[in-house]
Amino acid sequence: MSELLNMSLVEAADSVASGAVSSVELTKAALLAGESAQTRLNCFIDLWPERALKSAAHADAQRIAGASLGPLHGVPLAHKDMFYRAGEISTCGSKIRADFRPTVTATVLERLDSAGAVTLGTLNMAEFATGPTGHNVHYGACRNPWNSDYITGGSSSGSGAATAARLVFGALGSDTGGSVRLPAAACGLFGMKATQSRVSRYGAMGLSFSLDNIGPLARTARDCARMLGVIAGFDELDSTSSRYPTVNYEAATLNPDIKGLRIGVPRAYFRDEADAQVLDAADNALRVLESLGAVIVDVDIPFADVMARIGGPISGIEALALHRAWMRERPQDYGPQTLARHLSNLAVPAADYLAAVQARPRIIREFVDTVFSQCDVLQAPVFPTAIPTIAHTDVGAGQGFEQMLSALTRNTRPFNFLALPGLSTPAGFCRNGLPLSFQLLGRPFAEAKLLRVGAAYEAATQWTTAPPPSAD
Amino acid sequence: MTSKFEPEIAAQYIAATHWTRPDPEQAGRAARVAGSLANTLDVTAAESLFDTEPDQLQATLISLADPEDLVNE
Repeated sequence: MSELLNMSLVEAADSVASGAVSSVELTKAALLAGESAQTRLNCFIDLWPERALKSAAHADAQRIAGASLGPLHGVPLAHKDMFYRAGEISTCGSKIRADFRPTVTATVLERLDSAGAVTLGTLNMAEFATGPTGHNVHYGACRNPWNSDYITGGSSSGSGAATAARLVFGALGSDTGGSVRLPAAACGLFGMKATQSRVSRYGAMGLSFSLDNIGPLARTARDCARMLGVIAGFDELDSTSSRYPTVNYEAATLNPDIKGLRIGVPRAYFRDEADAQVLDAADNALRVLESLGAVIVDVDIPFADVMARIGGPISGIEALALHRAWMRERPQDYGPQTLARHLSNLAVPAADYLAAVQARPRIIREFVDTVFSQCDVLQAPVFPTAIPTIAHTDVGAGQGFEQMLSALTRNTRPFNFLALPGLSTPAGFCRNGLPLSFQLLGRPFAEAKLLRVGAAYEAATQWTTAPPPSAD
Repeated sequence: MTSKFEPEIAAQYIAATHWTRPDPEQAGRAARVAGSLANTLDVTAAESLFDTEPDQLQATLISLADPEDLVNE
């Protein structure tokens, strides 16, 4: 692997801006690494070498001409194949959309383009963003760069694998039940699901309009913050995007001070089914945070008895509403897991959906008032167990799939219903060499605070500096 | 996006299935959501249903945010 690709996103942007390295050099190295890794990791759906090199050459010309440079100027990125770019195929990981060419460009892509990013291509994902493992019957399973027998997590599987393998400097994913945080955790990355409405969803494939979020996966907290800073903020094309002000997220990661900050440890639910390795990693992280001045407190969790089911009717019914026409007309073109999930949602009563939607603000208020009166940031595992293998999770579309889905996403799904921000944070490695992680959760719009804690922990542990073996 | 569902129909449905009658504001929101869902049957995933997102969620989130999180660090 070229040493150029081992730089962080911020270092890469700084190097291009200073002229120490050209965007063309970076892009050529990334394309070469991407093509080489594809047979091993299967993380790209499409690579755009000509377009990327043209974009990189333009970025270099702008720098030489003394143009004002954006915070991602000349930096190669790629994204989950569900963010529309007018005229370019966006498969959404599906056969149904194998030839779909949207007529609009997603606001998040427009903002990354404006910040100077170079797009290498499109990344693998679960079919229509519906699976937590990285399996895809149409495009093949995406593989974990730390050990290619293991899952990447999903549904933003390619975003996790490509960023961790140093093929790109960062990637966007989407998170409806954990699909940014899970692949970030499985691949040893930072992954931010911001507050619901913080990032525009215009021009992105919809899955559940109440729960969908777009967020960055990156190797460092600061990289993650820079990407969030570019994409966050009100968008008049998305009427649900928040007008609440954004802040300088990246500044929160510089010299992060967490003295006196209360880190909450959940007394119920989120640690209940975690295995020993996961709990050890979470506890070790708490000790590090305490050594940095944080105050660790045990926290009561309201609604613990219903947390596993909370939000289920919303995600299921909203996805069903979007897919119902295709389910009638092209059921044979769905993968068996995706079709089975939609079919099972036909049994959810509309009243359950409406009741969940109605109860949501009340539940959010009670959760936030209870939890964040006791602490400033909540810590919880992302995956409750060590990262499983691809073979172990290749369970077809029956009851085993539903059980696996529930187990893998039990700690991430609730925060989509609760609309709260969550930052997946790397926390070392299992005995089998796969990454460990935890997530940091906060009040609405507390993204900077989460990034501050994540950056402080990262600086003290350095878990993110070494590349995975497959990137050597 | 227009709804064909009247709030009164939504109220009757909720009352019949949950044995509790929603107030007019809740019934109006339920009708809007139900109507929008019905209208989605003919749209594809390319289009958004975002106008069904209740403003109430946004108001709730803002009311629960900590103003200190607005201070640049």
